[in-house]
Amino acid sequence: MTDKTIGTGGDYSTLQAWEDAKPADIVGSGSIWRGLQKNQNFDVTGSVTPILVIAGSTTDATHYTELTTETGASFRDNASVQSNALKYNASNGASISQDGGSANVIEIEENFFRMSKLQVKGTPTGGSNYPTCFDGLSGTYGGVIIDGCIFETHNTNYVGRLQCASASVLKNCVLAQLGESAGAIFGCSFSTNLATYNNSFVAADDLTTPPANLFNNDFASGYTSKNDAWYGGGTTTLRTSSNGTWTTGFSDCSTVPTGVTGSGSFSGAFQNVNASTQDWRAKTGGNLIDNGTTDSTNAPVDIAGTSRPSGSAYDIGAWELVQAGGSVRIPALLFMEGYTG
Amino acid sequence: MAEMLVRIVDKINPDPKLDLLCRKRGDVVCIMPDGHGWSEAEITNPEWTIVKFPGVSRDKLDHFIHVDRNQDGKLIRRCANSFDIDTHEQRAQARTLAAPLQPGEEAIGVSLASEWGESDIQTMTIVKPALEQKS
Repeated sequence: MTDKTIGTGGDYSTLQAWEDAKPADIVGSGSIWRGLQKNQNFDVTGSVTPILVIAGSTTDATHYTELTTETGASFRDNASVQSNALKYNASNGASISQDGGSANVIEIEENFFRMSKLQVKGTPTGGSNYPTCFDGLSGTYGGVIIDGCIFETHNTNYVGRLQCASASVLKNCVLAQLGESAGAIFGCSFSTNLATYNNSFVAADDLTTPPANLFNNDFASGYTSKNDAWYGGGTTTLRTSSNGTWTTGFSDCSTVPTGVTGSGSFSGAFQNVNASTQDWRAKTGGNLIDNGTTDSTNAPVDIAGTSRPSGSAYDIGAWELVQAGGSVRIPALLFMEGYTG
Repeated sequence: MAEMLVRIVDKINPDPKLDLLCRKRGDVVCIMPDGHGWSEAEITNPEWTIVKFPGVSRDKLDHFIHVDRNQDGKLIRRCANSFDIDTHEQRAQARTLAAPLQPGEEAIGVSLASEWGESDIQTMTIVKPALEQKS
């Protein structure tokens, strides 16, 4: 593992320098090129270029590029992670954001790239054709894993898109669409073998014009969804095409695929569903609680690091509600010698 | 008010498709505000240099970090526009120093308005990487 810190006082002061410094042949280097973002916000205003493009290196399943956070720097390491609203908040942990302009934040064009524990927000104002927070458009990569991140957009474009050419995974993430008249929250058209597990795909309930659909899966092959929450306020149809295998999903949409329970209560599922006060933690007694399928491979812990299950079964979506007798993950910073709590 | 981190050594991948997505000499890695706190690795890496444009707004230089896409919007090349480090470095040398720049030395550039058509780009500074280990 080649760990490099990113941020003020780190090995690299910018994300782009860290990415450019990675070997062209990561397989030949015999290591994983891992970037550890410090607890700070990287923000670009008004650009037409992605903040970060991951591309150009030779990788494989055990030698790849990974972007995550330094110990203690993630929102999930925050001492108040169980009480903080689950939403993008740069004050809670490491974040990347783009304001204005017309580009996405992170472009993924490399096999086996991994990203975890980060917050990403896009607020473009230009006529962007690209999903806002993350985008893998080329359809030439595979093996990508995105885990435990918070994504938020204020735009008509998707929050994220993965058009992978081979098996890739999005899991334990929140994708929040706060833009009016969006095409969808997430897209995977033309993808092959994309899987999504225990994510919360949400569009604010008080949008004047909710997304036309929550999910664009046109021409996708081998798509799998398990324990995902799909909520869109006034959106009636979850997906654009009738493909994929769906297991124990929940939605407020009335038209849903087999394997998804539809017409659920949006406000009953989450702590707060409006754009200005959003909080995507699952609500006690809501239909996300204890209705999931066990998945110790992909979701042994939730977005906050809480072990699953806390109740009688896995919860649906990114958040596992801590129930009586369930375990709570203690943020690493509290494991100090002599700490008595 | 901007500073650019510029690659001065080609990054090469034997796979030609991946090689197009690697930065080459003259490709800009990132653009940061005046006075940005570059890390030691960024200052000393012999594959990079830092070019400073005091008083020049970032948006005047933004085209240097544009990626190149095909008609479908797919990324085909890492950088659409390179910074001609060779020409500008020669100009800087001719203007201020008779001898070639040594590591750690700076060169004060000349007006670049005629080349770029930007009337308010007046000076630049090329910071050579310090190749010697600091004591």
